[in-house]
Amino acid sequence: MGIQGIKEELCNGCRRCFNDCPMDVFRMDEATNKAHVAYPKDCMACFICEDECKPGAIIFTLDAVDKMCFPF
Amino acid sequence: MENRTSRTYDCDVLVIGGGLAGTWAAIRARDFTDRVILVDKARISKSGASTFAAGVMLAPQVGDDFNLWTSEIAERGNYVNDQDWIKVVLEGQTGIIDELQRWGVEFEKDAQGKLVRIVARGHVNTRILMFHGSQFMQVMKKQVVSRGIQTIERVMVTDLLTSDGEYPTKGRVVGAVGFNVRNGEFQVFRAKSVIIASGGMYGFNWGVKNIVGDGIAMGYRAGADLKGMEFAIPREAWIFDRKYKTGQGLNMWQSAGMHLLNSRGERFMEKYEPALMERARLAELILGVAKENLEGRGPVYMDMRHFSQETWDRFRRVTPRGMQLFDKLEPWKRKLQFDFGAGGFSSMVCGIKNNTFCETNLPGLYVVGEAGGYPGHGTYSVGGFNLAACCVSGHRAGEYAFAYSRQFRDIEVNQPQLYSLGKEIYKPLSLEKGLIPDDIHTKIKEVTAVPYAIFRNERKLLKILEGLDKVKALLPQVSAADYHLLMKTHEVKSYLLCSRLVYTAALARKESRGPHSRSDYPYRDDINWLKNVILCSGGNDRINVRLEPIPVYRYPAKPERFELVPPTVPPAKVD
Repeated sequence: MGIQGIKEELCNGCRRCFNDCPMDVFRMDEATNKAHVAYPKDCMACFICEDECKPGAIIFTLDAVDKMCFPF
Repeated sequence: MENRTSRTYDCDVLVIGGGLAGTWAAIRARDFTDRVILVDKARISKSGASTFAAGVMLAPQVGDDFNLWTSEIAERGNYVNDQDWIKVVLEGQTGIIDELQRWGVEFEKDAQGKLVRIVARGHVNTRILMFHGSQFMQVMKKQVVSRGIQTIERVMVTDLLTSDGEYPTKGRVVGAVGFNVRNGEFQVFRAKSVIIASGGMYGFNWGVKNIVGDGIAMGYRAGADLKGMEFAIPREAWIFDRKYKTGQGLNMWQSAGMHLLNSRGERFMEKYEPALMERARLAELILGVAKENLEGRGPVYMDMRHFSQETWDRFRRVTPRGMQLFDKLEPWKRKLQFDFGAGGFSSMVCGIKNNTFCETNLPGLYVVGEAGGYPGHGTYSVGGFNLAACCVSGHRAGEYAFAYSRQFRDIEVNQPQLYSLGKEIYKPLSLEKGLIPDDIHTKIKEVTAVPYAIFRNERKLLKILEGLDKVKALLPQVSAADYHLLMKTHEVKSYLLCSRLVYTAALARKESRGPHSRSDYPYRDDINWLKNVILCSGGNDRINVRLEPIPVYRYPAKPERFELVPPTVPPAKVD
């Protein structure tokens, strides 16, 4: 599970995702004032950004995005 | 450091980590001084384990029989509990709950407005209340802000400052250093007292992906004693169908009456914990699931099809984000394959050794919450003890750290140490492109995602330690391309150190107790092993190990007889 990206056309530059992401996944493009996913592998699918994004610009998948390992 | 900006702060009390324990510590210290700084490497009330806590907290109330509660907590914690801490948590928590309600924390209440208290993991006489996920931490943040507490976010503290500039120190702790994870600015905190509140050492698990033992590691390096490291439970998350994972909710599913079935359709926990069944402690659950798999009766399934609609509605209130996954998996319709994975720890009872004043062995250094390993918990006693201990320890440390700070007019830091740390912190940025932090974590997983990390023996523990030493040798090759990756580099270094400490302590404890299961010493040995394994730095990366007896003789709760006790879950053969 993890973030796949941001729909640029919907992003309004509110910075909620950038300010609040616990894993510091986002960066802002200072020229366009839009957020982008700079470190997608660090996402832990907590959904804080999705909850907070009023325009609904965050794209998520619930499918496994990282390799899990098991002791048996 | 030459071309980098830096910022220096002075304070009476520095709190490192803004979770439940850290915010309580800052709030309490603020009652006495406005020179309190709360620093967090992420975003208070949006990050850390407290934010993702799955909704339960121990709820003693006036009128409860605290002797009965103490007996239960000590017995469930396998008698290695610090029972002075149990008393302090039970007595302190009643008032804390009242205060939290006044602040607006939403606890589940009945139609008459009374707190609903239930049983969940491990409870017989003890009780827990339920809260609504991150609403709790949002209230704590509001309290921090309303008191004007200076809060610094997106700053990772990496190292403590010591008065003599030495590691391990023979002096005292006088502050800390770190860097802003976005702009890289060097941060110096000159502090008369320091409270480590940075959480446990989950190691890249869901929900706590950046809680990797930073504070435990930095305390250890400075010379703090650690306790309970062997009781870390190897796991990553709660994984369904080997594909979907979450880190929160198990306590709630246990409370609601989940069933665990092996491949034969048996509720196998009856063999190991016939009284509690699936409401067993986490250790017994993990060991049971592992044993069933390793002895050919896997996979294991979680069955929640019998839960009522009221239960699912409650889950939506208490763990709303956990339910997002369940909306996809539909556990009301089918049973789900259940695993716990590997590559991290449930570390709750491991941390920097502390007394009921939250003091460590280093003057000036205090520890609260999971970084202090909840001494009252023992090997892990009952669900909800963690968050109660976070509140009580935070509240106490805020006062005692301030009291300690009053003896100092100024703070002097050791300039050579400051200069040296200021360069060392940034070193990975200047390396040629090498390994990345995720590579190190992958290698740690390769060494530790093995059955004998769970069912341990001397030969295989030495093999794990040898493997981790080889990973350690790769650390100088880790380069960081930016400050975010610099943070990840420091995180993985903390986590690697903590992993080495876990298996070193596991080697030292020659018995089985709670989650620490040894096939070469399968019995719980209450004759010889009512002791703590204490680790401390000997300098030059040497780990010193010593044993300290637990003063069970003066505690109110003791085992009925001091004898060898057969294991609840006999170790599986893994050689």
